[in-house]
Amino acid sequence: MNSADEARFLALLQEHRAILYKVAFGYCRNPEDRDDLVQEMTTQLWRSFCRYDGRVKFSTWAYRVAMNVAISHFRGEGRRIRNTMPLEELAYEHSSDDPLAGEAGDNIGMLRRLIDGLDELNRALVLLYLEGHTSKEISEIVGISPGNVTTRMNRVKSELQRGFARLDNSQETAP
Amino acid sequence: MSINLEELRNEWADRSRRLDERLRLSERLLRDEWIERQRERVWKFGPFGTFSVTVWVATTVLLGHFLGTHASQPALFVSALVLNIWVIATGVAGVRQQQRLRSLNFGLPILELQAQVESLRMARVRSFNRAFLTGQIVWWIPFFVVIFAGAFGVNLYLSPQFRAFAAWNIAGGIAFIPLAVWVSRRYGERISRSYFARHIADSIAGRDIAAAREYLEKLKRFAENEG
Repeated sequence: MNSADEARFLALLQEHRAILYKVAFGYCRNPEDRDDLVQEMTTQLWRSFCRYDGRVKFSTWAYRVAMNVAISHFRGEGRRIRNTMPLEELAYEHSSDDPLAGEAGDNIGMLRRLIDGLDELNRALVLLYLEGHTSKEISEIVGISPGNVTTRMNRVKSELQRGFARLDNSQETAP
Repeated sequence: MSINLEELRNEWADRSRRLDERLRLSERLLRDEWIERQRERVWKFGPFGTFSVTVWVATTVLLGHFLGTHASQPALFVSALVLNIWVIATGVAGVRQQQRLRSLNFGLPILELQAQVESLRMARVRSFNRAFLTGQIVWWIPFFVVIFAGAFGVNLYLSPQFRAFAAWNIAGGIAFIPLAVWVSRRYGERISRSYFARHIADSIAGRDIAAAREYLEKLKRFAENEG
């Protein structure tokens, strides 16, 4: 990678850095693991940047890389991938009171609990949906058809809806 | 109270914006030295790892030297040849896997990349099992014969105890394979809490391959909008 590409990469990373953190948040509750994951994503983005050909938007590509790293990490392959390229001290700084965490009783807190109960693929769909992506954009990131995204999202929405009702009932009946 | 995902989407977006504002990248990231460190790391931890390559090359060279100096002694030559072929084959397999791992394109759509990761995982487990099982042939007699001849100048084949030694080693090697598979299946969960020991137990017992196959099926069903 030449210095112009490096500068371009850093500028793009700076612009889209929040993607990494949001994806890490979707797959990791432990703050230390989450920081490791964000660093791992950054390293992978850096290594993969030479293959970025601009056919999809940078944000779409960054989501793919971040989610692939997160899912591999989630499924236990992270350790091996890390071993081929140790983490660097990137020193991301962020506030400990993360807005996406939510409180135990608030809506976002409940949503987070329900998202944690989804498998890694449906979790990717919900996170992308909540970030405001269209079915087409989600399909580009996940690699399924837009119709499949819509069908699956409808199923997940129903599942979450039932989960909300359960959590709501349990809170109302709690002493 | 009725909550649905559509309503929460706006709330999530609002919090997401707040996260954007709070999140900031350390200026250290933007320093050139970070780039330099990354370059060094990529080089240092290239395919197969520097340490592994060093050990592998040294072993191959030593065995090559042994072959050259013992060409007139067929029994020792064949033992060293078998051992060297095993060392070279496992080394090549290791390098190829590291290269495949490093060539994974994380910018591919999720289902595509995850399927590649899973296929690689299966190939890795199969390769480990092959090395482990064929290792039972070379780790015992050829290894000891070459070590004794190379390090102490003793030809074990000429020893009066060799037949007993060989018989016990062959029996041990043959018995070890089913025993390892049985122990891994029966006590895999309890063998150790360490990642490495569990990983070996799962590989030998075939649990890793079964899990990988199951996950590939899951990815396929997800892509086909089933399940």
